[in-house]
Amino acid sequence: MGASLSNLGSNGSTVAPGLGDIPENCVARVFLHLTPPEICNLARLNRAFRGAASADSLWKAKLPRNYQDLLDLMPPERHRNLSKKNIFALLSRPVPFDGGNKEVWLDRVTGRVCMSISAKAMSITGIDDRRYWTWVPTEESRLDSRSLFYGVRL
Amino acid sequence: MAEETESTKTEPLKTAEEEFKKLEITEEEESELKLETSDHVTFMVEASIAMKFGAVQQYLEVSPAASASATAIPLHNVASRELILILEYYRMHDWVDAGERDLKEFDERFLKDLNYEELKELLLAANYLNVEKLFNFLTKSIANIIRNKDVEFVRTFFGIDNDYTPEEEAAYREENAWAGVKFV
Repeated sequence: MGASLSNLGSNGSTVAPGLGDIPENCVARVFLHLTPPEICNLARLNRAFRGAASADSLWKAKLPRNYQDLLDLMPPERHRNLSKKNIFALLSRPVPFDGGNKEVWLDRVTGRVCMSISAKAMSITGIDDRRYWTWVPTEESRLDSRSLFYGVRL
Repeated sequence: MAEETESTKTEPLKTAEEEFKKLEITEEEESELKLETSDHVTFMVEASIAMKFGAVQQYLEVSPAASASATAIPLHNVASRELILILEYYRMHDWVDAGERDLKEFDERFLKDLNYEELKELLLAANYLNVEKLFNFLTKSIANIIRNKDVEFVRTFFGIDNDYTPEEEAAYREENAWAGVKFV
């Protein structure tokens, strides 16, 4: 096996050191079929795999097309000069916006955009009258300590 | 009664004849290319399939004369064993009558018949030939094999050693904590 594979390198194809029998472009393609946590796990194999698992081209494919819009919600110094992998890591944690009433993040596995909207960011059509409802504190809400209480007098 | 049996007898004959004629026509239309593998075996391959190989296309761009089947197109990094498998795959996937379920069953069987070494050899051949569909299928299959396996299994699969220093490994863990990677 080793003999038949080693002549591959001499023929112009690239065999990156440390990736074993598999050329780098093949490893990169295998990674494309995996989820971000799986890719990060494979970076543990050795240094060469870590390099392949950090490639910008790979992580660009994992980021949603509109990732720049999400970055724009943050101060620029937080994402300046970051690799695509680090951008993914940054965006996998919630990014608050709209005065902290909404937040957006990337699902670590699917890379899809998720959004959470606080009850405070919503309005109740027709009953703006505060006599009919009130805010109550709750432990269950992540965005703020209060959620909407639907008034008993409705 | 007698008439009925006669008509049922002649009909299949007729259709068989038509089928044969159709086959003749397609055989006439289908040109072939001569491919030579690294172990010096020559194959006559339907041009419709051979032209899916990026390496063949590239070769013909440089030396168009090779499309006349007298000259063999050399495939330096593909052995006959791999080319037979590649042709089997492409003939099945090119077959117009193959339904989605047939192809799925075929793909599963195709993969089951390969051990890890053969799978890797085939991946290298597909990479060299630049055959997109098979390359995608093989890399996806490998991804499925190594997914959720422990690191030692994957190291053995790729034939690599761990060259991390303990410090590097610690730094790596910190760097990837966000991904929720489990450390065994």
